Amino acid sequence: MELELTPAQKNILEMVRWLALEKLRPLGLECDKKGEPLPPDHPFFKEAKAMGIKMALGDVGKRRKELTSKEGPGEMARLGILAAEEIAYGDTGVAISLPGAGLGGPPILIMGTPEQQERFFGMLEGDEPKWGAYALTEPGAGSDVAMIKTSCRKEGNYYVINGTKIFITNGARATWNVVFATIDPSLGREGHRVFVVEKGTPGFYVGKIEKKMGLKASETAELVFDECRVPVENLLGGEERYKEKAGFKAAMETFNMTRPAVAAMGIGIARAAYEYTRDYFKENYMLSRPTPLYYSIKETLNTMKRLLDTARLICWKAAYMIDYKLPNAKEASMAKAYAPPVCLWVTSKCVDLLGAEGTLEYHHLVEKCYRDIKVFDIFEGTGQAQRIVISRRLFSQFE
Amino acid sequence: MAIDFSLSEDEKILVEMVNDFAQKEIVPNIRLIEEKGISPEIRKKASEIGLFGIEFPESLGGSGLGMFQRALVAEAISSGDPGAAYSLFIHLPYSYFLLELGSDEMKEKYLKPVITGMKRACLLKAEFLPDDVITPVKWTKTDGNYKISGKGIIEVDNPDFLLIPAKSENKAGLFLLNDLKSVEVGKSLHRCGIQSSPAIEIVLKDVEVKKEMCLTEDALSHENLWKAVVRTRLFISSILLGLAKAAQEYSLKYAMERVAFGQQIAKHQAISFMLADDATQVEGIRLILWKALYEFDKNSGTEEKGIKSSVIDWSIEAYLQAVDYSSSISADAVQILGGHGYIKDHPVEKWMRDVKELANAFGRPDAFRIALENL
Repeated sequence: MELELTPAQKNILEMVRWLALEKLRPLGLECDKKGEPLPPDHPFFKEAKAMGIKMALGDVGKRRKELTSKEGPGEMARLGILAAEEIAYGDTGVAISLPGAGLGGPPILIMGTPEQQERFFGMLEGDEPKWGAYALTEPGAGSDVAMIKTSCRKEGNYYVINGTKIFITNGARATWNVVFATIDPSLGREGHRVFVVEKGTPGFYVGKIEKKMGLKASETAELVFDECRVPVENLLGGEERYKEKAGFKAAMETFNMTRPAVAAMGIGIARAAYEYTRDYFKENYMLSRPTPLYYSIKETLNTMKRLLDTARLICWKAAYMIDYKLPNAKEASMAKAYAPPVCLWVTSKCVDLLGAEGTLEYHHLVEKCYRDIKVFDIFEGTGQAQRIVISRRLFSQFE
Repeated sequence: MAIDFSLSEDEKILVEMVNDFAQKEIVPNIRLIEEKGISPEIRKKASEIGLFGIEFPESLGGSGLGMFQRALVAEAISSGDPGAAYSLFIHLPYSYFLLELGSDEMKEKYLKPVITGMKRACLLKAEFLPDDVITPVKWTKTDGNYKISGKGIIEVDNPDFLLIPAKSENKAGLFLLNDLKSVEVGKSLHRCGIQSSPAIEIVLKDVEVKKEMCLTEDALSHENLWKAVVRTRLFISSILLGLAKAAQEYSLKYAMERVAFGQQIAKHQAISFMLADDATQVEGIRLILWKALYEFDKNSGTEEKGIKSSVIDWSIEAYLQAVDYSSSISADAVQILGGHGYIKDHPVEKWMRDVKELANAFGRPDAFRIALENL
């Protein structure tokens, strides 16, 4: 057991923190005021790509090597989670808009053939910023993935996809979307097929871009598939893979990787609000007394730190299990179930501690964190969905 | 990579051995131990397999391991029954103060026999707050020797050695008695939980303590005091972790068996969400406690004296997390068992009582809630 960062990790995080504060945070605040996502042609994205800042989930190439390697534990999941918190500490909306495979990466890594991995990850290379995206949620199916209705049928060398996907992060700007569809909804999980749908595929349209409460820097799109014809080569893993509910399993395995990272991002947001509030009280007096003399304020700040420290360790554990190739569905859900409510409480208390001004633009960062954080208890499976996963894992030891 | 939650092979073997001990010796006797205390046979067995001195140097009869390994052992026993774990390891707080503040001669005479299970010892009940020691006993100095008086509580019946924290104005001293001849032993008080350890009133009336039996007359300015206090806090936190784990696992098992409204109650979402949250919180206590233990052992491994304030902060966070979550989890367990939780046929009502004693054993939790230096 060892629980501390190596000097090399500390250096990396130092750099990420600098970028997060200098670059991401101002852009995030600006987007939040405008209420619009950062456009794909914004010079920052090109700059980010040149500097090698990847989406918080880490380097796809290195992850590929680790997943296929038979040798000892990897380290990309743990590095990824450390970076996720740090970059979200700058601004999460901008962080999840960073060019790269994004949430589309893990399913291709888990299911794609070597040829597909080369092809799709290759499309994102080059100097221009490019995105991948992950299209699972539908108007009638979110956390309960088994319920998806988007259909696919085979016609010669093509699959024809029909349906609508919603709340897709970077979906409109993406070079390709990883799309989950079903050959027959009555088959449930067994009917799932996973496709990579490239931009410009006939029958693929971008619908509306959502206006959200927070995370405004990030683009959230509706995608429409109307007789969309996708070549057979874009069926992830090839047809053989789907004999044992592989499509559904890919969605679940993706979550096992992404949930701890998403939870860690939430911690980054809450830490930003906490540190701002703490420092505000260090420097300011309230009602003619130094605020630390108000015990209730000190207690609240202490509790915030304690809960965030605990949440962080729960995320670390889930990531450690990925690196050690241990099954982590329960732990990934624990991270995602635990961290967001804690983070919501922290940001909410930070607004309260700042009083009447807390909601105004004087403390824009903190009230923005309060709006940004709520969705962390919703996307990648709501807190309730996580509790269903955790409890089922607990029951399974008796069955 | 230095974020690594895995146990070494030796640690796995240790945990397995202690779990086995708890299952055989503690679990079948929970109510007997609550009524009569830990039997000399169980105590002897525990001593023989080396559970008393895990974290003490080999020269004192210990195993030379760290607080992490101690916590693994304490958690394992405590997840059999936390009350039994507290009573079995009642010598530890005493021993920590002797280890950190005693002279070599004292350690040889008054610590080694305790760790090896030959003698019994305990600490007079006192509170170790973030920056102070609260004790009902006072000390004065006369001709180079000391006199102590006051009324306090001890948790071992007729101990061989007794360590007494005593105050004189702003100075907190630590005094050792090697017999109770000069002490008036009063009645044993009824207590809410941890009834396997008695709470015996003692009265000290100008009891004379020789100079060489004083560990320090000003513990608060002694660099090693907080090391002993943090050890004690980590120990009690690992017992609370075991309690949380025991209550969570017991209520889960019950919920899988009990049927209501046509299905196992575990499958009713109102219950399953409680179970999921409780399991998550047990993990939360364990991980932050491990972090605190890791920091403590790293700090102890250096030659530097005293303890870093960050290590103290981690121990406080771990302790409060353990207190808060084990309290709610033990109450949840009673709730999940319903009427059955409230009666003595099941151990959860006991654990809900035990948790209050454990949380307040060496200081009240609320005194720590403002203790971190973040402002």
